Amino acid sequence: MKLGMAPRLALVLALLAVLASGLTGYYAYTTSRRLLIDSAKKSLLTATQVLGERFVTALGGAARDARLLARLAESRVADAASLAATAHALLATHPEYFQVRLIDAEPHGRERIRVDRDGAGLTEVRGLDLQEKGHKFYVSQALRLGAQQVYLSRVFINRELGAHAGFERPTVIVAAPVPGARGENVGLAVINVDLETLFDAMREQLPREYRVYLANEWGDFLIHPDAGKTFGFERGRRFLLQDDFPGAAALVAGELEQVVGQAWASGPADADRPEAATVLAAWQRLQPQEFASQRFFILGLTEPLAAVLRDNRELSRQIVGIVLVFSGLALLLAWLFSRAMTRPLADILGAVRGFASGAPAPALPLRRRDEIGQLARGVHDMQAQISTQLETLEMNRQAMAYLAQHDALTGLPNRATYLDRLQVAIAQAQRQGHRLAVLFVDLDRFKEVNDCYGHQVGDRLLQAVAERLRASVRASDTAARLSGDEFVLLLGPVHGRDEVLAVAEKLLARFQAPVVLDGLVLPIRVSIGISLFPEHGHTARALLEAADAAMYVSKSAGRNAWSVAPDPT
Amino acid sequence: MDAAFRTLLFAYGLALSCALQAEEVLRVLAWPGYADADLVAAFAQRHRVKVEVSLVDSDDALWQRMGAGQGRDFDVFAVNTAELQRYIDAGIAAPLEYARLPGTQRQLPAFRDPAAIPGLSRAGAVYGVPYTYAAMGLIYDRKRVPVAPDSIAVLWDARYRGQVLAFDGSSHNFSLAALRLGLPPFRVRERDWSVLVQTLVALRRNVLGFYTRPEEVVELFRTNSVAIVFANYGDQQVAALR
Repeated sequence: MKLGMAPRLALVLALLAVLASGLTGYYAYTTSRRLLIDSAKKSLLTATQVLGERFVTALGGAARDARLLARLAESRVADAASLAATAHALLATHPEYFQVRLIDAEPHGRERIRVDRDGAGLTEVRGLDLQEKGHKFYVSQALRLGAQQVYLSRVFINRELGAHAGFERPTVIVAAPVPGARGENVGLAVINVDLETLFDAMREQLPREYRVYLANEWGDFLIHPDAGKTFGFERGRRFLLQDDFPGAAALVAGELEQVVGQAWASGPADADRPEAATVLAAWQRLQPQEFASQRFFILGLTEPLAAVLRDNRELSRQIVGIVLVFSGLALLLAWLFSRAMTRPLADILGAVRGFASGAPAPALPLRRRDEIGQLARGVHDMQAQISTQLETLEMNRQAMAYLAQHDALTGLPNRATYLDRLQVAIAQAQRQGHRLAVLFVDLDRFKEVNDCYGHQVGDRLLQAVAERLRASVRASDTAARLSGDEFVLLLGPVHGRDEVLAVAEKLLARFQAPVVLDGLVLPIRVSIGISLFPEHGHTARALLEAADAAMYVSKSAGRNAWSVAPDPT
Repeated sequence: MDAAFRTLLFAYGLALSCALQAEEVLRVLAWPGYADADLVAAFAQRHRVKVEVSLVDSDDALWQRMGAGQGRDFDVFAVNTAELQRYIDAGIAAPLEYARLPGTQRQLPAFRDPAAIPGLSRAGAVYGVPYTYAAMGLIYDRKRVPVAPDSIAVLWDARYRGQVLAFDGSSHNFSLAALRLGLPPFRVRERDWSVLVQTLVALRRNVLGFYTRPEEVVELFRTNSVAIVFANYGDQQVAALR
């Protein structure tokens, strides 16, 4: 099927419009997706920083608490009971503390005050249950510190005997030295912080989709959504941050303070479903400032990409709707526009067709100022030109036809026209039962005029004769010139011989007067032969021959007479 | 002396009696430095198996990890000859068909005859393949210890109080305490318990601390005044300190 210009134009325009709106929609979608991801990354990084700040602040708080206890012990004003009460108060106000102790350097790092969290309550350990801790690194390392310094241990799983609620918990130990009178440390205040409790409290304030990670300075996971990946080093298999999230390696190496990016949450096994397994991850290096060591942590938050893009799905649905509506509008507009474009063309086409067939045609849009107007004006000019040429042609044709049917000299119908009319008249007369008459008229002594006065005068005489003949017959009759000085009349319908004879008489009478040409008086007579239809023949030829023969009878009878063809016997 | 020369073996666990099939997992429990990542990767590629290496840093941890599943959690484990017998007692270690291990004949001549290695066999059955050996000794700081110590008793020397690093492992320390007292190191007699505990408390009171990993010693050497280290990891540790 061949499409017309209008549908094709509409199709192209519609395709362009649909393409444009589709592309716009696509770019809107990808841009919004990118913006969403960017903003989610920013939020994630901010949340990581806030969380890190809280973690660092919590550790700093523990450091201050340990120093407070150490100063109390140093002052020697506080007795054992008030020191224990302080320890109780610290544990009561900080759910993440699970053990507060005061340890003497001598003998052998023996615990002096020890309050443990035990289930929901607190237990003060006394007497023989107090242990020597001198061989513990947190004791030896804290005792080496200056008065204002605080020791921070690595994060480990607490397996100290009699640790009560803290047993098997991820723990960090904060210890502040108690300076003695001679400048050397005589003891230390120790607070065990339970990271799990600390992070549980922090986790509650995060969006539900966020996952919290904490790694130590080597990248070992300490907190991980998959508990099996935490403290791997305690079980002999290390699970490292930089293995799971290669982007975070720079933090472990100490090259960067923070990193945010996309990662696969569960390794390459889910590589075929990247969207489902991809998370946004933000990592922040945390270095608590209150402590003597250069220990640092890496805190991370992840958010599934799917959760980030959940809003985008709604947006993409809306975009699809908008694209569909606009595509529909575009189709409609394209159709209207193509119609507006092609209707004047169709009008022009109609005008051209109508011009060719003569049918009434729509008006041309001549007043338009655009290309269509130019085209219409061009078509209009062409039509005018063609019309003029056609008229000329018609005139020429009519002239040619007149010339073909008439005698050039006299303007009377020529022999062919006469024969034609005679045949038509015969046919008509036969059908209607009319009668016809053929009068053969020959000029008498015309050759003498020609010889005596020249052809020019002869011709003018012939014209004058023709004029007299034409004036002698009715409008329905025909006078024609056959050749030379031979003329012929066709009368019909006629009602009787007498009527014909009366015409012949009248003719003879009319030719009794001479023809005057420029003072030249030329007497002219005619001899007439008459044949009648149907008496003297049924064909044009027969009637003419009969009239011709009758004319010769008139000639022989002395001219200036008429004769009727003899009736057939 | 077995305690001084620790011969480490790969004793084959129960599951290894059947041949490994492609992509099967070989579960190894070893000490740091015995199944390093490059070695494991080459092995895994050559035999088309997956290898899961878990590490232990004390005999106590090894005993606990192996005992927890009666040996079913691991296929191969690294244990020293002094310890192997109690794994045989507990039915955790499985005997090996030595004839099906042609690689054993490419070992050092001293290790080719398993019967000649004390602690490796029981009733004619061999329970392990010698894998490596190392010296366990004393590392000392020459600036702080002018005369080279000639006895492990130096770990108890009050002059070095707070400057001694011992290893965090009960069986090793009981053996150490027994050696210090001139008692048999690997079998504690009932009557010796009390004196051994007291000796160990004395050790505890003399040390800066108990370490578990070689790299800890390096760090402590740098940051603390350490005079003497009981080198549980032997040459490996000396190399790390250098």
